[in-house]
Amino acid sequence: MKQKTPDRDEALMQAFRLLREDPPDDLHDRILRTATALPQRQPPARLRTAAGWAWLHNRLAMPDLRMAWAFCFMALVVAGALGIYVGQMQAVQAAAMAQGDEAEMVVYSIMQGDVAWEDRI
Amino acid sequence: MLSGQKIQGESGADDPSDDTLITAVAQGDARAFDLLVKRHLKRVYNIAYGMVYNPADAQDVAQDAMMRVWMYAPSWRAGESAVTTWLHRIAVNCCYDFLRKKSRQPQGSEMLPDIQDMRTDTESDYAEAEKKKRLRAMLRSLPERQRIAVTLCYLDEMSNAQAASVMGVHIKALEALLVRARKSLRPMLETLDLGDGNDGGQG
Repeated sequence: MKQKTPDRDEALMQAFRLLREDPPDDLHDRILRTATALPQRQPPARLRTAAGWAWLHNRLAMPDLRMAWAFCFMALVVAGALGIYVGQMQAVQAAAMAQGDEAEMVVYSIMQGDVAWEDRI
Repeated sequence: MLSGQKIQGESGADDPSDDTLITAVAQGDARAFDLLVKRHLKRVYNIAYGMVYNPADAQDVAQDAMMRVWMYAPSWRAGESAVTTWLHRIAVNCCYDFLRKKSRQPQGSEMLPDIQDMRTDTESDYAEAEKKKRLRAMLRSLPERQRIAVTLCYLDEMSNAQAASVMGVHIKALEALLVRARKSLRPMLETLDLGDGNDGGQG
């Protein structure tokens, strides 16, 4: 008897299937017409990225800021080139100093009486 | 965008999957949306009708749900949930929103008998129309969450797992809702069952 009750309940509940109905014919068209006229909403993360790009694009495209951006860009390029040049110069100087140090040490050693340096150089 | 030949094959074996359709809808493809609506509107409408009872309100809710599908399609992510589950969840949320709005409005129109529904059904089969009316009244007597559980599982024939996912509850919670609903409905359904053959003229 206890087993039968849930089965009977299930059978009774199946009556709700009768309530299934077809939607009215015009509903489909109405939905298409109204929905597709609406803008789609982008997810927040994508919106943030899009907003970031739009902001940057606007700033770069602003007529009164174009010269300023060009100047900044040029200044950046000059500073970069200068940086590379100074870096190279420093490397050359460091190499020359190392060579100079070695020569100095040899002379000092000879003065100290380390004659073996003479053979080595 | 969904290619033309895929849409043309909508009645054939190469129907695009829901995932393909929703991805196309996310890119603003109206034809993919058309197909998606065709595929799911009946179930969405029936969920709405199960919850709000009035066919005009059910149409509004179904329309609102489908509009949200269009608007929020870009937010859908494959793997998070099936399109069907996502879509039905939207429909259920629309029903909740509608009922919440309705509860704030003064009572009156909600309690009117389903005249439009009765008129069309009376022409075809009065007894069946009467039975439907009583079934809807039974559904109406249930608390909101039990009603949606019954609508999803019996009217829409979803599995318990699917219905639980749509409602955003654990499967055990859904089963508990169904048990309570069955318990309250049993006496009424038994009357309906017994009266099947001979209560055709009852009002």
